[in-house]
Amino acid sequence: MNPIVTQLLYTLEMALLFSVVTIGVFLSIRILRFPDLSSEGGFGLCSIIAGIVFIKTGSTLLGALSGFLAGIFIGTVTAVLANSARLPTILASILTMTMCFSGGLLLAGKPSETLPEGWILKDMLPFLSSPLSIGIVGLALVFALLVPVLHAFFHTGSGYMLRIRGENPPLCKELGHNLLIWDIIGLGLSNGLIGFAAVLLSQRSGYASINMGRGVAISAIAAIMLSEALFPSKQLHWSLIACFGGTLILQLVRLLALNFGIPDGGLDLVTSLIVIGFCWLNAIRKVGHPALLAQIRM
Amino acid sequence: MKHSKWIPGIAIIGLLLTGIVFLNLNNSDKIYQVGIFQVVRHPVLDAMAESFQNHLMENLSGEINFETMVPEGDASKTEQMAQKFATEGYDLVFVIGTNLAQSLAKKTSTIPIVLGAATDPEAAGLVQTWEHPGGNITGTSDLSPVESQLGRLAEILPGAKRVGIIYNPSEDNSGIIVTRFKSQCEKRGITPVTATISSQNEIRQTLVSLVGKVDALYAPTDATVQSAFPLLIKTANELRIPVFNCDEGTVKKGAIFSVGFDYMALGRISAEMASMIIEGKHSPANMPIRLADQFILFYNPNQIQQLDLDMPVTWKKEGKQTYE
Repeated sequence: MNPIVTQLLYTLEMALLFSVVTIGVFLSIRILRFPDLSSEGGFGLCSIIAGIVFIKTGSTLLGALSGFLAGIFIGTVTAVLANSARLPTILASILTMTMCFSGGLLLAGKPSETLPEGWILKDMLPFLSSPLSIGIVGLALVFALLVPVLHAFFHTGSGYMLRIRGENPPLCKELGHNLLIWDIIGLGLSNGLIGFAAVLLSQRSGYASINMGRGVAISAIAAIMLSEALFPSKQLHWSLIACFGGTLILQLVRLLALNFGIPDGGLDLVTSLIVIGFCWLNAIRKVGHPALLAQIRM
Repeated sequence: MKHSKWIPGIAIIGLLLTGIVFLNLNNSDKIYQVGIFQVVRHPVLDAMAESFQNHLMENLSGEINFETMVPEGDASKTEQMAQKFATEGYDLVFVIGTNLAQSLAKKTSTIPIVLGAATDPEAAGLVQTWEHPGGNITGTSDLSPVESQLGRLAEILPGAKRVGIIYNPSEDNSGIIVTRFKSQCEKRGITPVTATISSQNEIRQTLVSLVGKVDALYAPTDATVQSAFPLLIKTANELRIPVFNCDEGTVKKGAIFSVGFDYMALGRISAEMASMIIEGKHSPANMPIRLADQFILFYNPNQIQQLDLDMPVTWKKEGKQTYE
């Protein structure tokens, strides 16, 4: 296959995978209005737990399930910390993140686990052979399932309550609901999805590592910002689809920067500069060029 | 149209795609394409990569195009860089970092991969056995000569019965060294005392807690420990704990001695292996994993004197003295 095509297909695969993370982070920071950075550590912890279960049982499905449950547990810890000790939300999530790093090390006894051959998506799609085609088709299916399911959930009573918890906590209290319960549900769902994505990535790459999550939450937040700037939308399901758009743009920007042959170590800088450039372009488009210049002069 | 606001976003995706295609069309002229895939920037690793490049250029006739990529530990970047190496027709990729090699190995079974300083490639599932890798991967390992280090310690501090080791448990390689350290200590009737740190800030506190519990301290090739070495040695000297380890640079800064090898030597050996693979003389499947071929003793006479230790008479002949 032509290298450009292969590179683009791999990028599409990774964009689909990381858009699951982006959606997870979107649920916590946009729906629940809870700045949750715990996935920086939680992503790695989930991959380690799922890896251990996968090695012990040999089942990719049990591995994925345990990764999802581990994520729910991590979300619960953050929610309980934030509510019970009245910690600032961001501090609660950072505490959880650091605990995740320790937890992973204690559980595995080492920072990374080598996984045997096996991928849950491959088991689901036995008729496809190459890992790349499995990845793209499988992850596209995951994404195509996730969006309508979340859309349906957020139009049930519980879904509305979760949105009220985020947008108007006093109202949630007035309606006689316990804020903690809704935080647990929201953060559990968010981190569960992130944990599931961690399993997908670790089974694909053949290793699980406690350091896997470094940069994950930050990239997801950047992708959300991009998606909101470039794919504005008022409806939830379009916002979720826009999450994929934002993640894809971020991954493409990185690929472009890699192809430029920038000096190593400069990748983050170049990526950030390109993202900032897009956001500026968008601001200029929205405000209009002269108005923005006037703002700058002020 | 309902989503007309999305047009700029979609246009940007189009723009990016065009840019990527354009950049790929441009670099079609190739001589030897050699990738260097390095986990983080670190003086020791940088020196090894540089020595690899220099020796490869010496060994191969013809021009070589080196492409270095450093993901700095980010999983998503690692994936993207690995797929770039796997798809762009590289003649060989020199990989520094076990996880990077695992990620790259999943994406190609044809492009030869030479490991630079992978501590245990067999345990990582990269090769079938040390002697017969069996796939497209071979290279060098940086197992630290713990045995010979403890041997030298017995020469200068015959009474040492409790030896500490300080490391960051979130680093893979440290775990392997610690296991070997413990088993070698037991062979010699020494009690190993482990002390873990998770960041540089904890070094001082951890060292203070070791006073009276250890007779000497081993500082392995752990990135966290090494990057805070000036702080470590300053504190250890205040507390009068002799420190030994595995490279010359730290002896200069104040460790009493080190037995180690040069990472540049690993770069040289890796380059020898790489040139044989590129020229088609050998296949990686049949090339055993190689270790450093010579060990060097460095000692710091000033430091030894300051700690009131007696220097073994043979060291003047066998070792090299070094201090600042």
